[in-house]
Amino acid sequence: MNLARLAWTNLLRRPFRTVFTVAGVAAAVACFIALTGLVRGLERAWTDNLQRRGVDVIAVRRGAAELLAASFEAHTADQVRALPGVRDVAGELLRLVETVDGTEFDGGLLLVAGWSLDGYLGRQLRLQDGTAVTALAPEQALIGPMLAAGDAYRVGGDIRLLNRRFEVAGVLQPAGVMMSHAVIIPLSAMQRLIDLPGRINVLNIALEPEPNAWPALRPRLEREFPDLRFMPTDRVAQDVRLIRLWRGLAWGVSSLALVTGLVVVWNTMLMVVTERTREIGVLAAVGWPVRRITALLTLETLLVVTGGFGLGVLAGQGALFGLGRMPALRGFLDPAWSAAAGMEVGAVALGFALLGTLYPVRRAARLDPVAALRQE
Amino acid sequence: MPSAPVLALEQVSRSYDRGRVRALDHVDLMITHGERVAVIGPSGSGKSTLLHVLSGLDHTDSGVVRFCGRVPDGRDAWTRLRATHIGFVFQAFHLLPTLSALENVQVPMLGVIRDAGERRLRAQDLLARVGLTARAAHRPAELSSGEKQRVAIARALANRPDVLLCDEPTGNLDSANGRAIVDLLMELNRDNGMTVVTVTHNPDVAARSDRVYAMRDGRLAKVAEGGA
Repeated sequence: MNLARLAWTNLLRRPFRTVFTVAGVAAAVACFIALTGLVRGLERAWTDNLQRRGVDVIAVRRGAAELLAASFEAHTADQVRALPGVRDVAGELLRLVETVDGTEFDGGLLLVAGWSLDGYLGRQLRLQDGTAVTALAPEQALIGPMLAAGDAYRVGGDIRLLNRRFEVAGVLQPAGVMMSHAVIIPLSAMQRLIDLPGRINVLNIALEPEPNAWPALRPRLEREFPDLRFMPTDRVAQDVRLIRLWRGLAWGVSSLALVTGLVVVWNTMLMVVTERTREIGVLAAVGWPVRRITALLTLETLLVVTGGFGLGVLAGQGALFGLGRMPALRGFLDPAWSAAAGMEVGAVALGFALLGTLYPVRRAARLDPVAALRQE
Repeated sequence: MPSAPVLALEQVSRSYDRGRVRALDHVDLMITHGERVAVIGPSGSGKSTLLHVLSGLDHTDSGVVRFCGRVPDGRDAWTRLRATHIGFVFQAFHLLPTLSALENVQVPMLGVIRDAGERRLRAQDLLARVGLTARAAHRPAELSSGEKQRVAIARALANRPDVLLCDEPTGNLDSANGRAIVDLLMELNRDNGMTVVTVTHNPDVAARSDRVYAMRDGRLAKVAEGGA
């Protein structure tokens, strides 16, 4: 028997208390990991989607809190394309559309994109099934592979968008989580569908492959297009206000969950120490110094928090996986576990738990042994 | 020539409840190596406080407590003494409920004996000595009162102390178990030369001690010398 074994034995032989304390920590950590993972997944899905298309910078309407809601003239794409340092530009009109068609996707959200299919984005599209992209007729649509995976939609069949029928002309090859659940229709058809003729809401800009292309181009873009906001793709997830709002919300809620879990640990450890005051007195009576008694009880906390953290990570990842498959979220995020964030939350949990344990433990360990032995 | 005192109290007083209860009142006591000392007296007379003060489990209000001629310097020094030189046996056993008998005996050895194997072997030897080899894996709740007290004695002997302080070690036992415990204490004194100080109501313990003191209202008086 050694100190670690003794701590382990103490926990095992008080199974109910140990299990519930571990569960409290695990629930808090799982909540933290699931919520922050969701937001990280959203950010990753956005960034991944843009980078796969070879987009270096996007432009949206300046001041629009919800960037899909604000549009601008489609010919802006030609003006930007003419600037030095710009390799190509593709305008895009995006909308989130609810599916109301009685299929397995009914009630879910679809990202519908209107593209100029002869532009540089359209040229990159690869189909696993269906017609040639450039031959897409105005009432035809391309769908993401996840939409085609079920029985709801197939090439030659229909898909209803805003109560308008489109024929499924092709299925996209897998290319990131967002595109796997997206629908692409010709830009002109999209403009008609949502009554925004001649308008787009996102510009996808590919820069010349020069090291200083963006710093050189940025001032001119901002000067010549003051109504637009330009964001490099690796900054989009951080800059979009909606994602920032989600991130703040997720951190707030998950931090509250974490604090609640830690208060549970504090409370439990306080109870443990109070209940075990006589035991602490016995240890002092047989010659254990304060530091060894403190080490034993701290080790028990450490084991509880570590166990809770491990279970919390697993449960959090499970929750993340489950949430990522919910109809309302499917296709908009790529649930992402971050080891660094996990370590951070582990360190925070451990630090707080130890802090909350040390005070009652030190106080009990410093009691006169006789006073401690008298405790019931 | 008398041998040097292992424990000595000089004018020691200790009171509780803001001085209203005087547990020890200017007590002088000298205990030499290898002695068997019994302290008798009615409940509440201060016997347990005497043992607590002798072991550093409790502090004094005034007076001096010496161990082998020296005054231990504070709580940590007393803790070290209890770890290696002073064993304590409680009337209420005070075994750790989550640990087996074997583990309970090993508890004082942690931090004193580095090798885990040696700790285990010694604990097994001590349990064999108190006749509990077969009960080594049992937890306190699974042991009888007599067995618990024998585990408590084995635990008190874990680090081969010079002095064994026993607070009514037979108080919670029937007469047969009580007699066995007293035999064990006498055997430890005889075979190991261990100093044994026992607070007791048991006349058998008193009869088999070298010196017997009586406590009344916190005052100590010698009543007999030169026992069995």
